[in-house]
Amino acid sequence: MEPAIDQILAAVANPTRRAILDRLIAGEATVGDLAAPFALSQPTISAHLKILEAAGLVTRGQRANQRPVRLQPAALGELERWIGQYRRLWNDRFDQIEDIARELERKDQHDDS
Amino acid sequence: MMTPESAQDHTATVSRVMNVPARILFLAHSQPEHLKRWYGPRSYPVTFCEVDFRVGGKWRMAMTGPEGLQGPFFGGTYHEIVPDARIVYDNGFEEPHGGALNLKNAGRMMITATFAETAGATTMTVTTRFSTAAMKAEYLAVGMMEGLAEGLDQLSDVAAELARRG
Repeated sequence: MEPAIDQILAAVANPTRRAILDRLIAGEATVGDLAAPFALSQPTISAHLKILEAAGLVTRGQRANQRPVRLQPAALGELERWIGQYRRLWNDRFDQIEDIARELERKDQHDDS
Repeated sequence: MMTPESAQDHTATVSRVMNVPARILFLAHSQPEHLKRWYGPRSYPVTFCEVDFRVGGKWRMAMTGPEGLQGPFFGGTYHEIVPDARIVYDNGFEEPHGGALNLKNAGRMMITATFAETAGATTMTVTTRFSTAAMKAEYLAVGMMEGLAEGLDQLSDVAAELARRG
């Protein structure tokens, strides 16, 4: 089952988790790799990873000891689609009100003359 | 960077500069025949619109999608009206969960629209304050979209690219 968008949004609502996702764009990484740039312990990073994993944003490999972390495109795609909806709504509204305002302005000037 | 649980956490802002006077944008907000033509997204035009455009007055709309069925009613009350400058109104579905839409995050939002005119161009700014904790997720997505959360714009682009590949 696809993770709920709420869960995805909550997962990316944290700056450390976003930084982890940013890092993973470059390719898979171990917990040690991910912890290195942060002043955080590996257990803290692991806790963040659990949240990202539950949201379906990352998966962990099965390789012993390492369990490399990878981005999951499907959940990111869902996030992108969701964000796009709100952006499109306001783009549409601004486009439309601008068109109508131009038309009303022309009418207004016409009435005045 | 996003801080947890501040007042700002529940708001999202979008704006655009348009080459029209503020009074015309205000006019487009004030009458149903104009609102009907811009308030719905392009594929879901507003097909029902009643407004009592004064402080304390109610407004009510419904939109119709490509399949031709009218969606649930939504609306609210005008809280503040400053001619040509500012309109504050709340917005929410009349039925819980948006009726047939069955939304998990349906709640009420308070919307502030301002119009700031300089030399014939007007900046229209819309700030939405989400009322419930459940709607906060919505804000977060908007925050990303607006670049309030650093890196997420890029992430969003990458997500689109990865989704295409995946």
